[in-house]
Amino acid sequence: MSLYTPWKKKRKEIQKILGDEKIIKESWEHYEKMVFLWIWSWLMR
Amino acid sequence: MQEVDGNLAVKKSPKELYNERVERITTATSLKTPDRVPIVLGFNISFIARYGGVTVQELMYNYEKRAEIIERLMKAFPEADAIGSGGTLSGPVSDALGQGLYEIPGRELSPDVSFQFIERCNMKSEEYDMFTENPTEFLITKYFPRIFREEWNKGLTRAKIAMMKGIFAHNDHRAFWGNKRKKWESEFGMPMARSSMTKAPFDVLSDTLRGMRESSIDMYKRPEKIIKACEALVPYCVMYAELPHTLRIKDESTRKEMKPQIGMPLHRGCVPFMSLKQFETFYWPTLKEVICRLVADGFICRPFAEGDWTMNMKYWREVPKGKVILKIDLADIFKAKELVGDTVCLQGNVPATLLQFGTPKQVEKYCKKLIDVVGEGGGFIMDGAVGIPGGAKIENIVAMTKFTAKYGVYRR
Amino acid sequence: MSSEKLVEALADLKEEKALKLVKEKLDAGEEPLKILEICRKAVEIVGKRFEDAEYFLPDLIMAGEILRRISEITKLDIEKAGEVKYLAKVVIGTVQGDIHNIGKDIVTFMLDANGFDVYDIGVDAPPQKFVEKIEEVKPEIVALSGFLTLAYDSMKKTVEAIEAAGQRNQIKIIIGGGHIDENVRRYTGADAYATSAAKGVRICKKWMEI
Repeated sequence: MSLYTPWKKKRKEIQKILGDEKIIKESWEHYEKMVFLWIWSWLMR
Repeated sequence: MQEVDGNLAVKKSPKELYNERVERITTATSLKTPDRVPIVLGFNISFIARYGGVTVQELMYNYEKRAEIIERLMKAFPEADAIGSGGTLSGPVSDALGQGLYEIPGRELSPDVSFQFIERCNMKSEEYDMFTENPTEFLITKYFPRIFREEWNKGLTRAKIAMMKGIFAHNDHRAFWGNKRKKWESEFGMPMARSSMTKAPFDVLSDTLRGMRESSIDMYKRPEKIIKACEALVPYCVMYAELPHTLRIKDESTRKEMKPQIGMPLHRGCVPFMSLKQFETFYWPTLKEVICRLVADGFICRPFAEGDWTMNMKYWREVPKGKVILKIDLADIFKAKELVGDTVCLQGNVPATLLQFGTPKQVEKYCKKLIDVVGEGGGFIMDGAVGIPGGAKIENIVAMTKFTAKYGVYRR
Repeated sequence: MSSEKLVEALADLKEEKALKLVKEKLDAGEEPLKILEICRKAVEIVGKRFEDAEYFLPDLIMAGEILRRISEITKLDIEKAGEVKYLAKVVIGTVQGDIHNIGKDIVTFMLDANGFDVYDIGVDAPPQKFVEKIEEVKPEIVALSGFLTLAYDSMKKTVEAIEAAGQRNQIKIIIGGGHIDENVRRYTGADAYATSAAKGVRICKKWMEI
């Protein structure tokens, strides 16, 4: 697993989603990816 | 330094220029003959500083100034088909985090030299398993406190604030150069040489984690740990190269899309950094895997064979044909053409010493040989051996670009 | 107990075996200095194998690691102990502005393996530091290392400083690094250049007429 907290794992932690899950998922993943790049930028030099 | 006016005789729109340049590089990459030999100018940060009459230190902080000088360089050398902008280390990000991976001009180093990597061990031998099982966990809990020591030594609150500041600074940096990239493509028709980067898994381990000394000793004491760690690194190396493209907002225009080129500086693979047997055991399998996966996902890989890769050249026959640009530094590029020219596109390698100490005539002579031999039948891109180094004479870069643009035309 | 076994274990980079043999020798009352002599013999072989492209950088580093551990056990500095007769003294350093140590360290190892007495003044060494060390140890040879192209100017400044200090006539200066050629040699005013450790050592040996 490359992202630290993939959506599948995060989804289980959220009790209820009354609205559109996709909106939350996409934003979650976007920032997981951003932070992945940030962390690994300190090795990829 | 003298300013160059490089005006082109025929005025073309940025869009035409962009498409033309992309086409040229794409064709050469796929081992065919474009209209002429493409030219890439990878400006070193110390060259940009010298051209602009400022210190390297200033360029690490003043992005606007650096961009402005690069724009002057694009105007001075319109024959270039892609450019490199001189490295990605930012002064503000460094300071915010108190990073200790590099010595920085204006701090540990004199203001007019390039930042330099500090050779050091940042992972203990007993931490291999932890790293291999959960790299992110290791990086956050062990690696960061070591490389950001300057701030982390001052308590947890200070450490957390340093991280927050570092990410703000990183975001500013990222946004700035992202916008410039778009501007240069649309206003100057100039592609950037690399679209993202990654590394050979072994180099990740040897450069930043274990260090040269420890990783060498590990080859004797714990070879299986190195191999496991490199294998664990493969998906991360692939993802690091690919993610910037999925995050980058697609440009709406109808420009030709240049296939994203993944820069891969190769540091410690070639003889004498290791033997061919050590190369086959520790370095090549996972590097090849990263390249093959990236190619399968539609990317072009552009490994930079730093140092002299002559002895290791034959391995490049094993990568997918027409999908890899091999940047040559000190290796015998003419021999490389013979050996791997039907598999990889070769880029390089006007020597740094020639650009600094040679005459324009000598530069032209070397470029002629490159074009005649390596350019034969396509699959060649003109470049400096280490890009355009700090001391390069302007008239020599002019000679390299003008001569290649003229003599490098392929007859149909 | 013959010393060949230890020479062989060391030269073949068999760490545990070599350490075991050293301990056995010490327990048997062998003089530590004798052990160090054996080590020098092994280092020579390692150096030779590197020159012959049988050994590479990791192997040199491993040899250094074994020697370090033997030093720990015998409590003696292998490089500077004993009545070794050296070919010549060499002051070596990476020039100002450049912090790359790997090339310099290979050359240091190889010079040492070939019987030179090497004084390493580290990386990012300003011209004055070279001048002071030369004054102190009076070497026959000074070796300037540099990986970056910016090193050309620092090498030139260092040679000039050595000249200004009136030391130039007594020493030979060699420069080394990846991107070094005759143009750079001429620019810096050095006597010779080398792009590999083996070539560098060959030149130094020739200077000492052996």
